[in-house]
This record gives sequence, C-alpha cells and structure tokens, in this order.
Amino acid sequence: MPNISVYALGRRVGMCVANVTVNPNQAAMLGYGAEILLGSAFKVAVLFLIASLLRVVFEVSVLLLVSGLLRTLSGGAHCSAYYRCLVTSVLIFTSLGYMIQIMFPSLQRLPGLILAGVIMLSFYIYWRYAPQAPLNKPLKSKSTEDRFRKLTLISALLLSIVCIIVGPGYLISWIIAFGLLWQAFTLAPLGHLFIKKLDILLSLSSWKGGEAKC
Amino acid sequence: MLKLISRLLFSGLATVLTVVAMTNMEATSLFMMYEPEPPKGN
Repeated sequence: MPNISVYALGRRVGMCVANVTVNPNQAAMLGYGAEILLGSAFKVAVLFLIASLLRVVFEVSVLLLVSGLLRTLSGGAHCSAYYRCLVTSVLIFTSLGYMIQIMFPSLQRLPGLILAGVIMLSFYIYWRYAPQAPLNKPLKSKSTEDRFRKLTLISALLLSIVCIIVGPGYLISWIIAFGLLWQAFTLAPLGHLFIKKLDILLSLSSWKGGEAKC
Repeated sequence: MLKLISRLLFSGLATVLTVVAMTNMEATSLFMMYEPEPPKGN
C-alpha cells in the first residue's frame, strides 16, 4: 500500500509545500523533513495511547527521553521499514515500562550495587560500540565520529550519576537505568540480532525482513 | 490578504521541515528505530 505509507505522505507534503512556496528544488528535502516529522508524531501518538491504556505513561516518557537522547548520539540497530519500527518501538517501550512498574516493589529492595552493575554494563557497551550510523547516512568524518562518541559517553555518564545519586529506592532510577541498558543493547551484536529477528517476524507480506545494516 | 497569509504559513512550514531534515542528517540516528532514505545529493 505505497499510497498510504509515511514515505509517500511525506513526499506529498514536501511537494505541496515546495510548490506553494515556489521552491520546487527543495521538494526532496522538505519531503524528507515531513516524513520524519509525520512518522515521529504518529509513532509518539500510538506509543502514548497504548502507554496510557496500560497506565505506564510516566515510565514510557522517561524511557523515551533517556533512550531517545542517547540514540540520537550513539545510533543503533534499525528496522527495515517504518511500520516494523513502529510495532517494535511500541512493543519494547510499553513492555519495558510495564515490567519496571510491576517489578519496582522488588527492585527497590535491591542493594545499590545491582543498580550500579546495570549502569556499568550499559556504560561498557557504549564505550565499546558507540557510535553507529546507518548505512544510508554514514558519519562524514573521523572527527564527527569522535564527537558523537564523546557526547554519548558524557550523556550516559551524567544519567548514570543521576541514577546513583537518587538511589535504588526510587522508580526513576530504575527507569533511567533500564533506558540506558536498552539503548546500549541496540548497539551490541546481540541487540542487532534481536532487532533483525523481530524485523523478520514482522515482515508479514514477504518474510524477507532483514534489519537495516548499520 | 488570504494568499499572503497562506504563503507565510507555508514558508514557516517549509522552514520547520528544512530544519528537521537538516538536524536529522547531522545526527547519527532518529530517536527511534527506522532511518528514512535521505534526499540524494546531500
């Protein structure tokens, strides 16, 4: 159904805006921007609709902020189509949020060392694998790569410090820690394999699937 | 007058879309798990 895809919708919006502003040369760029904006807005709307039904809006908001910030800097595994990304993201964020909410009474009694362990494991993965850009948008130079690596590590470090200061007795510490761990997981080979398998599983029509290589 | 207002609105929209596109091209990834194909020649 190419006519109702986010790609097609984005291109149409781009073309329309470019024609009205008498700048047809910019149609591709405007279409790209529209595709990102529309895709993100729809994804966030669906995510929060399901999160509110499951009563995990707070958990999902923090998870989204933490992993969203780090993902913009570190990159990570990608799905090969928009709707697969939509389903994967909604599935992961809502189930992670729900799991943290259910497990929190047990988690808050755990010693701080366990929380520190989760954070250190995440930090190690960022150190080892970040940044990863997708093949269709590679990083332009070594200096850009270094800059993203540095920014990823600084962000992960700051969020880790917040977690440690707040401590294991508070829900927000565990949400931040699991947000850091999930985003780190998408950088590791096992995370790529997981997204790839999920992508194949969600390839309803062809069963070809295949994660977009990073 | 109406034409002018609509022209201004579309120019604003064009600016927003360009900023979104440029910002995304400068970042490693979108905030979730799908990367649309960037426009050719960028």
